[in-house]
Amino acid sequence: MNLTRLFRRELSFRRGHSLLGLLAVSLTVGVVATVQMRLDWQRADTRRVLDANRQEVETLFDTLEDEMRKITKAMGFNVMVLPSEQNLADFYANDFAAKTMPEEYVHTLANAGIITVQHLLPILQKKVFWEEESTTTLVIGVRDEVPLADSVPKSPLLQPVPAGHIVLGYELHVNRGWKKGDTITFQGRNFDIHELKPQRGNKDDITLWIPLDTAQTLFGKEDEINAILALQCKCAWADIAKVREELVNILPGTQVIEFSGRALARAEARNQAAETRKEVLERESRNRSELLQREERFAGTLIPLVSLGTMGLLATLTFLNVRDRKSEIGILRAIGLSRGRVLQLFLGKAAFLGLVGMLPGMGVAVALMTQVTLPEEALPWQEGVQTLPLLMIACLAPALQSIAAWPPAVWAANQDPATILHED
Amino acid sequence: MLTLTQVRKTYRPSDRKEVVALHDVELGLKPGFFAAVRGPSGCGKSTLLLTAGLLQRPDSGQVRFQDQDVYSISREERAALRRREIGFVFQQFHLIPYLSLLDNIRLADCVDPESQGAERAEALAEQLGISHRLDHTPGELSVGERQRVALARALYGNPSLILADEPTGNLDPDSAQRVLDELALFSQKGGMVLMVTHDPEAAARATHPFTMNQGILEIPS
Repeated sequence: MNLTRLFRRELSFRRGHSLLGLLAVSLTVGVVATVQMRLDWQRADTRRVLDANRQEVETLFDTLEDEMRKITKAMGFNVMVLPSEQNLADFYANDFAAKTMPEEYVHTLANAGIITVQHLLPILQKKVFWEEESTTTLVIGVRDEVPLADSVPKSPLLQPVPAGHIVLGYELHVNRGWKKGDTITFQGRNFDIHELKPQRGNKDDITLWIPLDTAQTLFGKEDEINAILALQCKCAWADIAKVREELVNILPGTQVIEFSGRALARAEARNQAAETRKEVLERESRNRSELLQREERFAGTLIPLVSLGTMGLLATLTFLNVRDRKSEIGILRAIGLSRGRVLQLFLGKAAFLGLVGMLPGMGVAVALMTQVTLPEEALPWQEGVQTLPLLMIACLAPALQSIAAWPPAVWAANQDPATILHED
Repeated sequence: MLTLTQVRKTYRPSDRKEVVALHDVELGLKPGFFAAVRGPSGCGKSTLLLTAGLLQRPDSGQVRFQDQDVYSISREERAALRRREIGFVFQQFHLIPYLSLLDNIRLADCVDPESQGAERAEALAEQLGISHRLDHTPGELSVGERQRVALARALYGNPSLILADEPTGNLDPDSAQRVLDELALFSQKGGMVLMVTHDPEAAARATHPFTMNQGILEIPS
């Protein structure tokens, strides 16, 4: 006969009480472990979803960037070289540069071996009143592209206007019934129509193009030009400063402006799209995090509630057990059992119920987890489940039950055997 | 040897006036003594038994047992002394309902695993006529058998003193006689018995009868 035998017999004798205690512990451990495993799984699945989304966005972003790089590389920048003394406000207001520079500049530039410029086109541009047709027009004198030194010949961007010919913008020919090959008079000179431009919706519609040398003669600007178009500058799309620096270094008496921002606009549009996509990703990430936080808050409420409820039940059961066993405590104390051993008897029972109840509780948790239907693409239920928290739950179950049983166990240990034996 | 000198114990119920349970009690028990204390309910008999059994500290006076002032030693020492030297028998038996008869007799083994063992318990069961029910639980025994189990439990540790509180109170005459025979036998073998009882016939078996009234212990004239 020893205390262990006494302990076992008592458990078996008060079977209902013991089973109720075991059931409470099992259910608590089951609920707590399920919530914990579910949280672990959800964290892992959230990571998976966010990683997949991030991967998708990064791939999309890389593709967009690549496309943008290709597009902007193909388009290049269009810049204009103007005389340095040209007032830019006047230039923008009048649509042409009043100041001129030697046509020779374009050859200097062509022979400089610059690597960022693909096409060089000298022009002489002026807004004039077309006397024969009584309309204002922008005249541009153009010539062949100037071939760049140390460069593979490229197909020209603009076809030159042959001598004695003219090219007309849409507004200049649309109501006049002219057709290609017709001969018209411009400022007292006859020109054959080389091309009639379709509508573009910009100042090209009131522009006419004639050969450069004709324009120089017409405007009294022999061997002079007022702008060089440097077209399709093949540099990194955002590095216009580099083009500007390169050109101005070669031609110190000039200034450079960008006159077509379409590439930049497109790049910015794509950047904006990528930013928006990133924002969407961040929003989704935030939503998932908030969902997870909500579940964590729920678990943070549920776990203490269930644990405290079970501790309360176990404390009550232990209290009832002590009350039922008062006579037993009295006689055990009378034959010399110490208070410490009485305490041990009741705490040991609570710890034992916690330990034994924990095992089926873990089984309940696993069973619950396997019964939950998960989406097809989701991780398997056991993914991400951490062992350490489950071990802690396993250890805490008997510990918490012992804590719950502590007050009634102390009450039992402090029972005065004289009072008990006297009462009975 | 058990000696009570000028032992006084007073209860103070919250809403009633003070009750003197032991009034300067003087008592000496030597080996071979079978003392019986008779008196009406509430006269202090049980208090006397618990005080003598090292379970209830008196307000004043001295209790000496085996040459020790038992209420000046530590609680643990007192528990050990009680375990070694004193056996208790109560009217309500105080058997543990889920243990077998044999385990109930051997209850002291829970405290001191090195004590007598199963053979001693079986011999006591044989001596008290309950050996045929060793595996039965108290609920399966008659009232008389239960008291004999309680007596066997008290005798199991070879005590020098048996304290019996109304040991025949719930028993039929034959069972009561058997219990009293065993107590008498124990004292004849050199043990001390202090029994409190209402029963004049039980008290008549004692070698040293006492009466008690309102906490005062007297030798009957």
